[in-house]
Amino acid sequence: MVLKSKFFIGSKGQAALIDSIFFLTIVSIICTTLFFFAINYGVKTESQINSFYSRDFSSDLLKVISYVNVPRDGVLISESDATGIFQSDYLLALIKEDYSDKRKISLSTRNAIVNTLDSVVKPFDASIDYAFFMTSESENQYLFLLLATHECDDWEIDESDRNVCKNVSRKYFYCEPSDNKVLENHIFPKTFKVDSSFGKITLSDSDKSDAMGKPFIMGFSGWVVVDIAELRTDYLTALGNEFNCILVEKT
Amino acid sequence: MILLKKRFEFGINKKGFIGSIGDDLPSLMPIIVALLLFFTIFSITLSSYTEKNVLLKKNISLMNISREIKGDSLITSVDAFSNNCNRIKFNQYSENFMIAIYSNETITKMFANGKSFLDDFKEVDAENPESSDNFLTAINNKGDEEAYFCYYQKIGGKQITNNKINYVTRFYPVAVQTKVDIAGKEYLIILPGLMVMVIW
Repeated sequence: MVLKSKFFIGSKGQAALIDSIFFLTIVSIICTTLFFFAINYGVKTESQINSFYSRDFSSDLLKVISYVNVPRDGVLISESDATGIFQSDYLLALIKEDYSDKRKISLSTRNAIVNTLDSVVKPFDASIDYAFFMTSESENQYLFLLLATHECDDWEIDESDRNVCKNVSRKYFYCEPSDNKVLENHIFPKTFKVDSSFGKITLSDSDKSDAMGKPFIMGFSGWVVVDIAELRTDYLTALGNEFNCILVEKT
Repeated sequence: MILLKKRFEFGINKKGFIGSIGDDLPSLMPIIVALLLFFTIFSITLSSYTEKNVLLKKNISLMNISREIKGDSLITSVDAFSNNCNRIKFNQYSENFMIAIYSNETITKMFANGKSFLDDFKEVDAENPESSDNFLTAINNKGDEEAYFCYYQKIGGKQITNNKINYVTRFYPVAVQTKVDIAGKEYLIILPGLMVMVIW
């Protein structure tokens, strides 16, 4: 009995120290939890808001395409000034006309589409690549596929024998792939994130329309610029390639 | 002598005793460290939480305001735009904002000169936005030139020129029906434009 009480008397300070270390451990756990909460709070909401914005942007872009008037020759309005002759129409009307005539989009309409897209995507011009397309619901092919990419024009070798890009420029490709899944199969898996918007339009009377007389799907897909072989000129324009593209010279 | 004796006895009986607080110092140290750690992390978490909440609120307000002002992305006249602007102002948002529409030519020119949209907003005279060379303008139903510009500042809100503000900028494509002078003739056409919105 005497021994026990002596033991407790001698260990008083040690017990207090252990208690405080326990306290420190509990506080450390709480602090770690708080820290992770602070880091992760709002991240999902923010990414959701950004995703809403991307969707808003791309659906607005499709709406603009369907509203705008363009010169019938496909040039920019500022350039129409020089010719003195100005005839304009809805861009959608030009697309419908072309489809009705040849089931293809003419060169002037392609230029008008490129100019319209170029003007609205301008704030993100340096950072995004995109595809604008029209595809049939019932047929397995695109009526129109425009790819806008970035590519290095001017390579240089630096002091440490590394290839360094000196100039990157925007390139437009008009493509006629045989399959309407080329983007999903070849491009999208190699990009970080793709934001897309789709809309339905009827191009002509059902008896003149595609096989089932169904409306076309107009779509826009944008992604952050990536340097992949599938988006380079030599790949996209190669003969027998699944993309079957030609380089569009912007006017 | 009695005092000395007492002190001597005290010293012998309480070996290592360095005062009532001094004796507890080893156990007090972890407690103090724990409390300091807790309050530091707590204040960091609280400020980060508040900051993120403010940012999220700004983003949500921006999304709501932009959806309301652009409607279906077709702006038929400058009067329609300013009507939408006045309706939004009536909602009394807790954020300040500026919205303007730019034409393709102006954006190309601005980018070529290395000028950002925010620089342009900072320079604008909110009472007389037509004085800015960059905003798209049109003739309103009173026959005056009016810029596609909307500005709201809450009571006591900071100016956009204040360097300490946290702002969010967003761009939206819009189609604007406007009169264009081509080779001496005036045409009413729908042009692609860019609506730029800054909220702070």
